[in-house]
Amino acid sequence: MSDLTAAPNGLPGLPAGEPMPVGISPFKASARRFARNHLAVVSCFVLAFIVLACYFGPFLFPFSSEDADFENISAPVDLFSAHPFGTDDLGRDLLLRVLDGGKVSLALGFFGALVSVMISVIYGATAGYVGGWLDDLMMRAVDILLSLPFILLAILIKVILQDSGLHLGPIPLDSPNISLFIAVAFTLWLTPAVIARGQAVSLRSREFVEAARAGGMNPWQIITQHIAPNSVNVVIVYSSLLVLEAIVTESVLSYLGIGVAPPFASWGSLIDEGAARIETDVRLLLLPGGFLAAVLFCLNYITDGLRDAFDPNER
Amino acid sequence: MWSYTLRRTLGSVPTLLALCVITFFMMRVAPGGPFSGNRRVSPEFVKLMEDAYHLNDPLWQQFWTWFNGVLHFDLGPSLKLRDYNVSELIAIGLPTSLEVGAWAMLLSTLVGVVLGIAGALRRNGPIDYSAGAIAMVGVAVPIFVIGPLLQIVFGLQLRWLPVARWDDSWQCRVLPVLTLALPNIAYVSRLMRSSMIETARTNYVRTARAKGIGEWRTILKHALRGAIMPVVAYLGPATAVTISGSVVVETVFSIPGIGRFFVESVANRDYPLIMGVTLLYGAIVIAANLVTDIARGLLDPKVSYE
Repeated sequence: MSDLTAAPNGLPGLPAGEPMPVGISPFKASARRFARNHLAVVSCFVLAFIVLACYFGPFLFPFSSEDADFENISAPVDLFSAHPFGTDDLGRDLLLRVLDGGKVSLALGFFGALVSVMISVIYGATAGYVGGWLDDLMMRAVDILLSLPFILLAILIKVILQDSGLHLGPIPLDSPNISLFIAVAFTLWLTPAVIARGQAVSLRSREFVEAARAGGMNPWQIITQHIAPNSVNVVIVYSSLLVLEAIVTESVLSYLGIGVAPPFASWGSLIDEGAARIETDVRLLLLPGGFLAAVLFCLNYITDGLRDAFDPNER
Repeated sequence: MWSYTLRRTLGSVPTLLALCVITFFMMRVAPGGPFSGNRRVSPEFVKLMEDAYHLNDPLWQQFWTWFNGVLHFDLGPSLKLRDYNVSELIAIGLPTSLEVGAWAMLLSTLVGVVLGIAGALRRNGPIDYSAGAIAMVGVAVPIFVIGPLLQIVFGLQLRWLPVARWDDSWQCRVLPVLTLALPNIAYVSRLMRSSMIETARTNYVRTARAKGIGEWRTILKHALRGAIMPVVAYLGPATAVTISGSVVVETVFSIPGIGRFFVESVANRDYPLIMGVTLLYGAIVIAANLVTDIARGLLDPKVSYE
């Protein structure tokens, strides 16, 4: 932590000829601390590799993940054949299916986390800035929802939206995949909302907010233009954790059969398929399960690294 | 002490009420219902069915009817399983779910505490590293992957335990309980380890050592009492984690518990069953948090009742 304390310029005790110590910003200091955490850095590379493989790997195959190769049904693992990890009992390439499923899981995880960050920051900023009974009410609601098991909440939201016939402009909120997405995002915003609210409370009495109020901005403008943008940074440290939780929530729902709908597949739904057939072909479970576990391991180490680097008081 | 317990118990009533209101209106705000999904049924019939279950009454009236029933422990009829009402279904599933969940909670607390202490006492030793590895697996790998993996290893390869069967034998319970316990074992052991390391450095533990009490008595009688507080505080959230897990574990191992009912009721939009189970789960979590708070007050002199 010594690199945080930058020496003031022109230190009198400094021997002549020594280069002047240069102060670094807290962000740079944190970034350096993160870079020294080898496990977290390696995890970043592994995660990047898996993401690239999922989105660009399928282009290397001359067939699609739904194409059945009737010549090679239940082909064994042969890394140098057309099907590196073999095929399932319908002749579909196992690796390709898992990569395609990864696209859905990763995208839902990433965008689910993104949307939940936005909801939580706006919600937290509103509660924290306005304060009073509204703050109490909003945070009490969060407490109640937080005490519910997260699966319950995700399932409830998913079910309510599905078959509801609701549309938001051109977006059908009731389609299986969009309702899944919303369920994931709405399950995750609770914890970051509490964090964002804490930040908003401390921002409320700062000079620039007072200046904005004196300048005649209405509360909603202050929340969206001053409080929320300045609360994002405290939530962003938890972003990798949110992506992790989003991926887990999505895959649990898909595993339970109320997640992604065909023709789409995600790691969760592939694991569901694989778990039903462990007696015939273990690969159907191991391959998607392995990819999912690898991504979750990486995100865990990255989360730990981020927390140690950006939040030294936590240690 | 008693007044605190009473106050906290009464304080959980509004929370339960709010839970009732939130789940009820969340379920009913969205259009669509249990009978509208089936396209082969005529609209007149749907109307008749909905009238029979009072689904077309004003919303507040429906809520009042339902809430009045809840006060009399009547959670309404199941819309899909027509021969049962919700209370009967819960009575069928709850003992099984409770059995698995209670064993999992017990196992995770015991194993987590022991692993945590062992890791803290022999830091960077083999036990510490294996405990750390178990914790990492338990935190990172979801239980719907661990469950089938255990089925493959112990059910299909070694053939020691049944893959998915449910009867009165203890063998059926081993894998589900282990699977359900693993995430909490992971979390509790991490919590226990860091808290034990911190406590072992405090002055009162050093004094106990200096007085010449044996190492084991110092750890078990003096350090443990202080170090276990974070674990006690975690028991409430652990209950929520276990409930989430039980929904999955009951699906993995085909256990006829409430979690299975819940997943099925959700697919069928069986409103009364969904709300009954949500309310039950919420009540369990609220009760667990209440017990946790009271236990903390009893064990930790630093927690005051004001």
